Amino acid sequence: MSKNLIASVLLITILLFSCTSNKQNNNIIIGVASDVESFNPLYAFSVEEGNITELLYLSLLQYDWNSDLGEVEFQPMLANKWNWSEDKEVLTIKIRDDVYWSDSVKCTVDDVIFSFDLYSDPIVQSRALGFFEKYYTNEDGHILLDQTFEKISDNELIIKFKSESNPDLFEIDHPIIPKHVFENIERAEISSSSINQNPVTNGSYILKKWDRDQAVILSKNSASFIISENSADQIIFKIVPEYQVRLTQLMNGEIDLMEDIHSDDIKKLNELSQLSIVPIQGRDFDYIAWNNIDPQKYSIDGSINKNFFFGSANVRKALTHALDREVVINEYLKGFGQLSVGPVSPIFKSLFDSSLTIHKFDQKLSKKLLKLEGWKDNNDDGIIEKDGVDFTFTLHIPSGNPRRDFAASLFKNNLLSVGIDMTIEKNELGVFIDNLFAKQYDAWMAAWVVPIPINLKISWYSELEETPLNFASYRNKKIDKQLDDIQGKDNFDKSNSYKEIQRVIHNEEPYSFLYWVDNVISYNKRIRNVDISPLGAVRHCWQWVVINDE
Amino acid sequence: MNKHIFAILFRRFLSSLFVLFLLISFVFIIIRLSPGDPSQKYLSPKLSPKLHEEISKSYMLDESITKQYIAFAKNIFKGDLGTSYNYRRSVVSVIGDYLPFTIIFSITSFIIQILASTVLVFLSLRYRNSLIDRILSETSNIIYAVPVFLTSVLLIYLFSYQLNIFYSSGINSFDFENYSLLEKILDYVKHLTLPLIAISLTGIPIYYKYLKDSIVGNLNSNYVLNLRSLGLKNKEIMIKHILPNSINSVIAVAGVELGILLGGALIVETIFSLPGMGQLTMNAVLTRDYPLIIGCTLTAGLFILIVNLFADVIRIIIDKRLIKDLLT
Repeated sequence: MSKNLIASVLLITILLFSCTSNKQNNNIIIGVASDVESFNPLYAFSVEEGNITELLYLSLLQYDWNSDLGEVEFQPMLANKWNWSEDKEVLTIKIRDDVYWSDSVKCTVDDVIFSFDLYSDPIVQSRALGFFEKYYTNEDGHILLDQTFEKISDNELIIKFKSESNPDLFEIDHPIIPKHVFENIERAEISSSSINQNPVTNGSYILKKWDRDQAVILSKNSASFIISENSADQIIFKIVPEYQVRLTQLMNGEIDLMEDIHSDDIKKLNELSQLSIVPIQGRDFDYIAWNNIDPQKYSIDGSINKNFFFGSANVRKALTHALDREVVINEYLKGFGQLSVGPVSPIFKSLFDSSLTIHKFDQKLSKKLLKLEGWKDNNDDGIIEKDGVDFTFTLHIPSGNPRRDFAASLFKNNLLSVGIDMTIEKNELGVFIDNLFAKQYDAWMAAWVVPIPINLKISWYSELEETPLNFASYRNKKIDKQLDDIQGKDNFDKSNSYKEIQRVIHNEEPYSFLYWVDNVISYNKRIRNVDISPLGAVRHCWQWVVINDE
Repeated sequence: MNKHIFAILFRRFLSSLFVLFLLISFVFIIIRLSPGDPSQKYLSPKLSPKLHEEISKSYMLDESITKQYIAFAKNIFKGDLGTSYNYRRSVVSVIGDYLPFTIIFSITSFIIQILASTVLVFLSLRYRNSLIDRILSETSNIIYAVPVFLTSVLLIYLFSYQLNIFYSSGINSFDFENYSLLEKILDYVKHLTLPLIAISLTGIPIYYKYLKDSIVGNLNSNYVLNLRSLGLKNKEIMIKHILPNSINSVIAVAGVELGILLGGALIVETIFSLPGMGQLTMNAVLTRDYPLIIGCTLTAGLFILIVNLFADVIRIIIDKRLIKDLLT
């Protein structure tokens, strides 16, 4: 009797306490590492903020990735028609007539004009500030509204661009915000306004609830033209900062989708039949940068002198040939990566130069190139020297990144085999970035995320003061010319210019381009229509459908 | 007596204000001299360098540290801690969002620690020098030695992943508002049991050790022998004499521990996704959110001083001889 009683109590306790997962509802839960700071697209700086504002606000257009062409394709969104003038300087846009803000006010072209006004206003400090070079603007980059916009009707608008600025549809790729809400707020106060936490929106989903550091809950806006009956009722961004906890929740069904899966965990996830695993290729690459100039002299008086160790292209190529990068791909990334040959990703099919050959792991060739540059081991101590100076240097890496720790240790041994003594120094991320901007390092390992549309000027232009992200201080006039030309040429010439840039960089090897690292996504198979492309995983979520039967 | 306590309180209040001002001034200078720049996150291939310039100007980062400090000190005396760079809201309102959880969580955990350790101490004393006593002592040493992140991950693996009894993150469910009162309580229990166990396990061995050593020390003292010879019962000796004499050192430790807990339990908050001061402080430090770092430091410092003051007052009430020490 007493045994039965104890068993019953235990059973009831377990039933009472057992945690239900989201398997039998029409909600989708996306696990993310950090909370958002604002729901205002003016300040959507992080990936999560971008993903959420895409659901809350409509842009004029949306774009998809065409994997056959390796480029984006624009589709209608708030704008249902658009038309370029023959000289491609004037764009006529018609917007939908059936879009309303969440406070029932109709969305018109006045909202569009006002949005561009805010995005470009320096006082507002929006994420798009400084990106309106092809518009008619003041000296401070603020769009001149009268010169730029012409309202035809509540649904039709003309946008005039600067002559010969060669604009494209990316120029209008910004979510539209409500004029009637923001025009009553001082522009300098917009960033700190409470409206950023309680937004008035016009997108496929509306903000239902925001529990700080817990979850952002969006519910379906049934009135939206892009929402279908099958769209998920709620999309929940659940904030779980700790990776292992996020992974556990993915495995037990508490969350449905997670990005940046570590390669070590892929095998474990593959064993779970309810999960799909998809890599996104070609957006992030790791590199070792060799400072092309002498950092000490630059920091003293700003003078530009060749770096003693890395000033020669042959030495830089020798360093790349000395590194066994495939070991990292096979052993650390478990195959979820590809060798890199330059800064343009193979995903950009029309821009990528496929004729370039990889600098293979070849230590004989590496030694030969170093010898050619006068680096020899004259005193038989195992370290090569030139002008009496041993080839020893420090490689700086940001702390807390196991992949770079693994790669740095491997490369240290690789370089020792060709007579180069490399010391590894880990720096806290803030310190690391500070020193990059101050050009304090001779060599460092880091990563670049390739933006779409691709932008090489920001990191490869020679003018070091204007291009703060050219950390390696690589300067080449041929590349500058091509980068300048890209802004004013048509698509065919752009492709040739990009290919020429890649050829020059390949010959000069200012970085050792290591490998493209896949962003591995895992999601529950109960979600269908997930379109994972180089543009990301959490996109166009209104198209996602939940199937609970299986 | 009351006059003495008032004198202590007043003196401690003045010195606390001074200590807090020194603390935040020190932090103000240290964070600005340290590497890292709050406007760094606005330098990216996706953003224009123009935005970085504008942000730097608005944060006064282009001004000298002296100018920044003068502006900061003026605002402090007006009770303004500034605006958080990350949250774009006043530091006071941001801290106001995170503080209630930390206070409730810390005090609950503190009560669990005190109760559990007291029960274990009396259990240990009852079976003094037996197997149970040895097991309790060794177990408390082991638990004390295991890092809290490991305990947390193990708890999640066992109770959340394998047994599916408790949730592994957050403080309540998404549809919490629709629950009845009983369901809400149960929901909190399901969410907060694991983090409370994880955080409490760090404190229980400390109080257990302090209280037990103190009681054992008193039990072996001559005055207890004397009381026994006078015919007093063990229970009476324990309650009236040993406990008041033993609890003093535990209260001093408890004051420090509670103060630290109220400053935020970073690891547990991060692992269990709890919206507390620890996580807020850590994010502020990592993103160089200078005004928020100072706000969090001030809050933590304030709690440590208040709780310690409170602990000292309790110690004086229990043992009036301490007044002299605390006054001097």
